[in-house]
Amino acid sequence: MNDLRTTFRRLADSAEPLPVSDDLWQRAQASRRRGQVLVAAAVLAIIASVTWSAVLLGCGDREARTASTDTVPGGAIPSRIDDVPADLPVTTDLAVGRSSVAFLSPTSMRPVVIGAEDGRYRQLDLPDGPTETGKLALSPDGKHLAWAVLGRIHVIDLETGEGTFFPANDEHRDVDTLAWTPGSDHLLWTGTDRDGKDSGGLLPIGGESEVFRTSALLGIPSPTNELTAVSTLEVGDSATFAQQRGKRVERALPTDLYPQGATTRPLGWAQDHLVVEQVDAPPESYVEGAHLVLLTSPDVPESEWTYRILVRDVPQDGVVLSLAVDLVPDLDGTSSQQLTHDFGDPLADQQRDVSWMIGLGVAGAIGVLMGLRRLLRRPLR
Amino acid sequence: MITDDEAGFAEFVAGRQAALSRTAYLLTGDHHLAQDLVQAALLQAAKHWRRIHTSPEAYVRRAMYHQNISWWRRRRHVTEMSLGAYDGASTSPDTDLRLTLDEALGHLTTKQRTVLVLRFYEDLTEVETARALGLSTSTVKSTTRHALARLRTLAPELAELIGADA
Repeated sequence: MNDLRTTFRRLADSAEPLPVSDDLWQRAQASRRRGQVLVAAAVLAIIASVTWSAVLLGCGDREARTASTDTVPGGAIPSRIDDVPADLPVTTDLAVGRSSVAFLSPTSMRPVVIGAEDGRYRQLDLPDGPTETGKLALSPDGKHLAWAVLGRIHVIDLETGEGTFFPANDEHRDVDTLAWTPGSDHLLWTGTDRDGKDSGGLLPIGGESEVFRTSALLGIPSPTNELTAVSTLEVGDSATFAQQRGKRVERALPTDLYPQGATTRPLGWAQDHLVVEQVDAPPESYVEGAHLVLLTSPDVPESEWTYRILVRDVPQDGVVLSLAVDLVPDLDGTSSQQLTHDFGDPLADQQRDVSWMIGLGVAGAIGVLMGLRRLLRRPLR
Repeated sequence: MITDDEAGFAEFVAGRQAALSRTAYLLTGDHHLAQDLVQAALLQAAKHWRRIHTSPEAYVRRAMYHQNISWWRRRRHVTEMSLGAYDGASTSPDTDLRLTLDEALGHLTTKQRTVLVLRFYEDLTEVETARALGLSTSTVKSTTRHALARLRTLAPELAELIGADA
């Protein structure tokens, strides 16, 4: 056994000291402060909810208590997307169900998903959670959420809450972008390898292995795998696509909407030739700021092109959205077709719902404690 | 401005980084995983520094043991492919069938590997190992026995190192 010990030591000595991030302390303290704020918020919420419950019970306002019952079987994209308030509760149960939208809240710096069927906002406490916007990707079917931290890639199943972890390796020492393929069964990543050179790859997330062209890594490949929608970082008058071997094709944006041009970022393919993009237009455009659009790709004759504003109201200030594009309905050819669903004001309703649940929880806990006290005080026979 | 706590943490990291790296490498068998493991454990330590600053090493080591087992549970069914793998030529199988201890450890479960590292590298007793991993002493005993038996089967040439009846 001493030989085994010696061999273990020799083996261990072959490991060089591993580098540790310089900002580790700052990250840990930020995380600790967030936890303390949550505890304080929870205490305040309990006090507020007990008071609020008493008020509601007193005034008999049944309408307020039964609000937010609107659900869409199969799910839908919400007609507006808002940033969440800082005091929205954080959930550690990641089995939140199919979602329509995901983004990193600029207020709380936490990942937020919106329920596909009920439009509810949920702020998630993800393990090793993302800290940079744009490194969070919701699958086109809304069932998986992927994120990256340095070279580490995580994927969770939003229906079961189960996670999959891809540790950093020689190929992905740092990940810059994550994108789902249209079938929701492969994740494309780009980043840098251990030597700091550009790299990219494909992670299979269930389903059959499939071959993609290298040009797929430039953005989000179409379901036919013939075109890849690519981000345009500079303000311009067109959306960019890449053909096989990376040759660029431009698709003009409507000049009446954006006389000074706009930037575009693809979010996914709703159909074989229809892509959803997050467009950001400068002030004095007809449609200013960030919004989501549905547009035809340039491999279709221009006479058949469509350009629809999908969601006008979305968080601004560089918030990158990720969308379950499979929830966009097939176009019926009419301009009056509703492509999104108005879920009302789920954030206001949720806060009311949460206060009710907390109120009832506190009442239940008090009941249990009083019951225990009674039991303990009962004399032994 | 650096606080006393931050300075204490930095001093601990500077002093123990190499030792923690060695343990992490033995636990994972992979430099990248080991780096992630050390990083994750130190992040936890920094979060709870005020509570653990009197004996941080025990806390960090325990965090590494638990984190490693937990990661293994989550990734055991996953295989990763790179895009280039579709086009690249496949490598010929390794013809050298003799396993080194490092390679043989890679064939154990993470729990078995962790128990062996604690017993034969960290020199913990069975009771201490059980306490560190939150297991019973009898589980540690049986896991050690099974792990050594597996090493003997995988790599008979290591029998001399391992012993015949451990």
